[in-house]
Amino acid sequence: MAARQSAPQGTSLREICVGLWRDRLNPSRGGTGRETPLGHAVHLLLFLSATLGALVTVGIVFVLIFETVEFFGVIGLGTFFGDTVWSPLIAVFNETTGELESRFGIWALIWGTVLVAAIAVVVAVPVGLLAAIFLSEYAPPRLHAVLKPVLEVLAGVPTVVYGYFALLFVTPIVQDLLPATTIFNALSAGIVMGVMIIPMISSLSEDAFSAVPQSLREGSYAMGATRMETALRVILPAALSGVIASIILATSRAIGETMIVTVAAGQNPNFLASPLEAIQTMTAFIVQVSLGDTPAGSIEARTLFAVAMTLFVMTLAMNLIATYVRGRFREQYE
Amino acid sequence: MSGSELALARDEAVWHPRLRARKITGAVFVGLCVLSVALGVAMLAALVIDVSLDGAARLFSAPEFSPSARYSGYALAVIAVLVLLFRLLERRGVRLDGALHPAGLGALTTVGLSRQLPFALPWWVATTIALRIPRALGRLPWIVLAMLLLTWAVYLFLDQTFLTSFASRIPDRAGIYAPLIGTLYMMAITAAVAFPLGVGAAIYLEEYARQNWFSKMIQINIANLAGVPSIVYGLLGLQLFVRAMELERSVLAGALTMALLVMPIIIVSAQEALRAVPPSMREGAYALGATRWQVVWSSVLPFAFGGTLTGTILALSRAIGETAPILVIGGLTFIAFLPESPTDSFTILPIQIFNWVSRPQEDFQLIAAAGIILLLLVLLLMNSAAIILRQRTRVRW
Repeated sequence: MAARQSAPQGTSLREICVGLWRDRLNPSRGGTGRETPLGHAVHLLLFLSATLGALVTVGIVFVLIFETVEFFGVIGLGTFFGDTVWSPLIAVFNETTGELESRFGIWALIWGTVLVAAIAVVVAVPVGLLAAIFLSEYAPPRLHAVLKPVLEVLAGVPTVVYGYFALLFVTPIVQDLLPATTIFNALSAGIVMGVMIIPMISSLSEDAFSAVPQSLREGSYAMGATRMETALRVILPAALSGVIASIILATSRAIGETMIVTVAAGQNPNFLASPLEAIQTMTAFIVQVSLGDTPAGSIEARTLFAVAMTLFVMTLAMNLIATYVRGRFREQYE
Repeated sequence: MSGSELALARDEAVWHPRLRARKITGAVFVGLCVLSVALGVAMLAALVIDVSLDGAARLFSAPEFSPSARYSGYALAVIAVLVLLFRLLERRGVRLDGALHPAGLGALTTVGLSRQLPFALPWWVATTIALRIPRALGRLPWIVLAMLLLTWAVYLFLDQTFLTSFASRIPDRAGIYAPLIGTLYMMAITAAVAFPLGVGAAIYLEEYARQNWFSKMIQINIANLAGVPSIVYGLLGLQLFVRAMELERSVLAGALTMALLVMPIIIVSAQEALRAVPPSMREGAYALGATRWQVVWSSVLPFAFGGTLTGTILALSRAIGETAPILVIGGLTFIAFLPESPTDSFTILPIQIFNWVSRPQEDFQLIAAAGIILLLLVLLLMNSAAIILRQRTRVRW
């Protein structure tokens, strides 16, 4: 819009407020122009709803930090990050002190979370990438128009349905193949979570592939390359930043996923557990505490927020890295 | 070089061993690509089939069934299929006359199925009308008619006790009435809160805001909010609505939490819809002396409304399947009553499904599958509505 281009670049909040007030009636400076009282009221309302969008983040961060600080006032960072046994609700025997006590070693939960997410990524990356290559480089338009929405339905299925699928369909199959598997296990939850994030990788990567200019493909074919050579040695490197960003975003989604792991992966926080055993993820722990009757303000209730803070920091970091990768390593064309 | 030598040289070029190897590798690679797409589709099919097989028993086990209901069910299904078939053949240019006319076939089938003339006659009339109406009205009414007929047919076969019973400890009596109504109640409030706020924020960002650090910050914020795990929203709702605002574990607290969850999605889709309206629309209105709000209200919003509404429906259909945030704020409660005011406690479809799945008895897990079928049907309905809306409100500039 023309008004936006001519708008002054504010630096401080005060300058912006002064500028907004001074230019409020000047359309060429981004103001509203001639405006009725109703128009001004609407402007204010719209501004407030946009501000609310920003306040949600502030609210999340504030709520998490407040309770987490209270938690670390009692437990201490050293215990939280220096222990590998997680049992905040039930006292367990501690070998070093020889006493029964609650244990707060977050690594047991992080292990479960990372294990399931890693299995999901191992399943989803090859399938998602190959599907993206097929859709963007091989599929004729009519097939593309059918297959793409079908794959995207996979992302729209409610996660509790995936949990059902993992527990009652995938787990029996896994148990047939690997008899050592327990009913609740990380493997089948991870596989199903992989299915859930396939469309994320395939559609974001496909967007990246189709952003590569046609001239690169034509140049490659002119040199006598086959379709596969073009796809793997020309298109994939050119779209790599988008592909990596899609993988990171999908991983972050897998880490924050709740219902599949709650239903199918069990409630046993277990550091260095194998994929065939029951584990507990951070999200599943939050659900476990929420379902119980922990009084608000108790240390058990505060573990909830410390765990959620860890989860939030991990996913936020991954989302920021994905944004950075996509912007920083983008190949520029034209 | 003679002709035969040329041909030989060409054959050598085509069948050069390295070229051959490259072609074979390429073919294997295409095979792998097709395989992975097929794997994704197969997983979806496996999920749908598994759930349908498990859930159908509870959903369709109709114990007492009057013959007339059964025959009208058959007849409706047959008519619906015939309507679809008729349109399909007609679009392909096939003319069906005489005994092969679908109306005649429909009547024959209904007579054959019911073996009773009193039933067959009205259905013959209905078939004829059903097959004539779509021709006169065009495409959409035809789709709606077929959907309605199918829904009616399915409804006649439904075990209606599942839809109208409350939760129970006895698997055969357990129903999904309370969560179904709870979901509808909660989503209505969520939509009422999130739609105006989300669209308002989008209008501000697209039409009013200037390019300064404040609007950039809001934009980055919204982009990042979409990546926050849904369970974290549940904790925000728990502290903010349940505890600080003392709404307890009520419909209102759940709806507000969901509203926060879907707002970023609504904002982003509404922004896209607004951006698609060309600047000339705005400039034309300004040239006529309109104020900014008049421009937005009369020249921008009408053309962005379809896209905005589509985005909202898709966002709400995501919220319907969300379990984690409501689990955190609402707990897993045994609800055997309907919420009557926004401050009553409630349960929703995915939570009831989770409750049934996590019980050890197999009977309850089958009921969970029936609940899942219902949930997926609701999602299918909402997504088809969004797709139809998008196609019908699309403006080509």
